[in-house]
Amino acid sequence: MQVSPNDIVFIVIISSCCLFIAAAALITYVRLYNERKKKHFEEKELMAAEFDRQLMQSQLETQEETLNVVSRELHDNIGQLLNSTKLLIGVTERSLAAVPETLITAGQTLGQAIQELRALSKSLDKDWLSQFNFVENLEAEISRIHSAQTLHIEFSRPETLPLAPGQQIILFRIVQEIVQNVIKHAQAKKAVIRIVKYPGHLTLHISDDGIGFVGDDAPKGLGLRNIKHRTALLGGSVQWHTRPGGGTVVEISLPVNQTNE
Amino acid sequence: MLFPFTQIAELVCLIFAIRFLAGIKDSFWGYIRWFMLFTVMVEIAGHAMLSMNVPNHWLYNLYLPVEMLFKYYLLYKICNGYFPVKYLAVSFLALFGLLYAYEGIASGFNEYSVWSNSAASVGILTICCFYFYYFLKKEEYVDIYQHAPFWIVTALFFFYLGGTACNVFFKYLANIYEKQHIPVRYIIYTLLNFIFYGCWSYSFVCRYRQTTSSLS
Repeated sequence: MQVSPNDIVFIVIISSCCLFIAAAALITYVRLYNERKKKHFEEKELMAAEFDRQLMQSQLETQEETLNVVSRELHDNIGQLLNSTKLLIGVTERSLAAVPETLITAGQTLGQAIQELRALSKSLDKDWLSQFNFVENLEAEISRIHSAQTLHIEFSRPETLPLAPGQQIILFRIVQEIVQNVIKHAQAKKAVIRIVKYPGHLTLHISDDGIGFVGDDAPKGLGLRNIKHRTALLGGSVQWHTRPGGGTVVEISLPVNQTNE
Repeated sequence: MLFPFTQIAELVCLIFAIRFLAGIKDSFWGYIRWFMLFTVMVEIAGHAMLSMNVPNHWLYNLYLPVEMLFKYYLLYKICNGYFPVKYLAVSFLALFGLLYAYEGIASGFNEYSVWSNSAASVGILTICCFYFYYFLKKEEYVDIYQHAPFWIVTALFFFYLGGTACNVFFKYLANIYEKQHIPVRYIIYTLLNFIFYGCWSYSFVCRYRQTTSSLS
């Protein structure tokens, strides 16, 4: 059978069109399947992030509970022992005709220790923290540090903080951790804590005039990790700016719920 | 005289290759510029010979092994991370070599080696299909709009699948063009070349973006 040239042209055009459509269909299928894979991948990422958040939350809750137990132990056990000791010193003082100077100093030092212990116990107590706001708690913490005369802290802040009580506790723990780092590692004389409220977010700057650090000398361990974790839990970010001898600035930015503002 | 659409598309693709693949020397991307330059030179020479009524099949017969070796090399480099492509590629290249030698001896290189081209095309299509299969099977998500190798393979797949009918009816179409001046093959290949070089140009842009983003 003889096939005419026109038939061949027709066959070639039709089959080329079909093959072209087949190629386009396969590429479209690859594209659509890949989109589905993307969705699945995003869901997996979201689940992993949620799992991390829950894990972090439970770690922090456990930590809060532990601090709470420590706080009660300090108050109920060690506090009582110190109170009894102070009472015994008082009894001894009254029974002596001439009270030695060292005993008076010991009594005063013990009184200071009891006050310090009460303040520390309060700052670790979760119920106490939830009753008061962040600003009041931090001011109490600062006056406790001032009484130890190791570091002077300047604190500036807005009237109110647009954060829920739970978030305020986490932020308070972050500040406590940073201030402890300044006291332990920075050899600083002065630190400044500044909180600024912006529409939609809040920034917290903590700077000191200490020795600073370079990349490799950065304090490693649980402290910095806790700061990062806690900031992440609040949905914020944390950055360290430092140079040797030039002090350190910790900058925390937190998103703020408009309803809390 | 047919307008040189294909040569223009190739020239634009060469410009894209020079612009976006400049500075890449250590991978197959660096060789693409040289391959494109060679292709453009062959196509311009072929077009010039055609315009002077000089047979140019021998030129394309000489170009064919270079083209196939380079395209198989590209596929090997791209697909090697997905599946063992080596034996498949070598088998099809061996088949291509045998048919190429047979056609060359039979016609003395005066006729285009269409069957060796078809055999190599089947090999390329097979490797492309395997690539797509393993690409989808891969657990990690890859953004295809930013993934340069995907567009290289897509171009090859479109070009060789779309050109199958023309390869099968190559001699008939050549006769039809000679006697009735209906340029069916020319029209189909112009369209396929636009898609092919369009995809390749886009892949060069993707590769360039990848390089610049990793530096920042």
